[in-house]
Amino acid sequence: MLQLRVRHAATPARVARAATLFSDALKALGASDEVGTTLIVANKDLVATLRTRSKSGASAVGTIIQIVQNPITMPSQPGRAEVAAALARYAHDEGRYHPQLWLPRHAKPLCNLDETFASLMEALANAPEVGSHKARGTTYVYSKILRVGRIDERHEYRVRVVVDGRPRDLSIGGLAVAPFFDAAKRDVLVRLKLQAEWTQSPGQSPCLLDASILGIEEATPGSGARILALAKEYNVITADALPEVLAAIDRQRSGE
Amino acid sequence: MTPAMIDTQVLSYALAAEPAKDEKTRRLQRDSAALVATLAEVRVSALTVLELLRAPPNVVAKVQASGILEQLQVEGLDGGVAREAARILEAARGDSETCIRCLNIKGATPCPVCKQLVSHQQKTQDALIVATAARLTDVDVLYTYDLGVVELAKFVKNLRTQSPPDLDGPLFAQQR
Repeated sequence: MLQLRVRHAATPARVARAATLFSDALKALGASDEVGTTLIVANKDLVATLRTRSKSGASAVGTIIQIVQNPITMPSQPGRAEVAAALARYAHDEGRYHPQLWLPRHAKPLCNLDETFASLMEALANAPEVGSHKARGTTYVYSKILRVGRIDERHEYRVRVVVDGRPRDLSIGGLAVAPFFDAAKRDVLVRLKLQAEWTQSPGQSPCLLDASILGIEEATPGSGARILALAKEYNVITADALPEVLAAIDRQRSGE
Repeated sequence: MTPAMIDTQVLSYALAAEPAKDEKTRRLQRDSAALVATLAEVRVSALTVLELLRAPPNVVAKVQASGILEQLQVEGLDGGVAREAARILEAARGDSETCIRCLNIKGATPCPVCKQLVSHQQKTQDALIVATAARLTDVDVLYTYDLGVVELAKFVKNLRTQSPPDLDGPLFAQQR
């Protein structure tokens, strides 16, 4: 959670500016408009609390906090410049009302969004991104097909699936569209092979930049109960074999 | 989808249908099976499939014949996972409580039988499993009995590692 406190009334315009700050910052970190990320606004003196219930939302808020806490030492990462720019804009516009960022249940504010802060964030926004690397490759993801469509006959079909916890519209290239329509209609889980591109900065987790679909196959994972029933039926691991299986795992992990 | 992944040992304990001879292993079997029975899908890393298929040949033959592998939801290794694993290992190296050479916790005790600590390779496999779970935004928990996995998971956000729930509960667990 991250809180913005302003010692002035929560007028619609002031609330809108606070919302724009958070919205721009989250958008830069790929976590905008998520159902699990909400803004709670308290009246009288404006207190806007950003709450997250999703992994990607929490990670984005964590990144914003890092940028604010360690603007100079924090390693470069995708979206840092845009977040810094959003913070700088807000501090420039609203600095005269002494806004502060707080972590809930802390005795001291995280920072004052004043002119000094605005200048620092501006410099950070304009600093070149260094140390980030891109990588390309293939990956597999499991998802339902949420939507299939195209803008008109001149455009290719795109498919909406969930990748890294977020819905994304991906190209299917030359693949036949029928299996995607079929999977969407039946609301089944499918396994998708993707051509993907990631970016990563030192010390940060890789972030999926772009992807297109190379293949689709139906995934029919069994339930845990079904797997246990099969294990019992085939007596897959006997009491005598279990220590050998565990020892084999240990041997593999210790490189013997 | 199930917001949990399980490690190889947990799956192995669960698949062992016959009760083991010793009490401790029987408990681990019972707890693992109870956990797996509740899962709508059993999500594992591709490394778990590899480790399972490197078990003794008679077990491998039965695993393949049973069709269990087709029932698992296998989460693959890709470039993103490799990079995240590298980051985790690097973060572990930078931790003051970890030896920068062997990545073991400082002051760790060697195995009483082989006198060795955990090797680099084990850490790599542990890191790949942690990274796979960490990269899945819909996975919150990685169930494992492996302390190496637990140690490395401290260097990722938003992923908990825990043992399958003890069916006797913490009160009885403390008394043992």
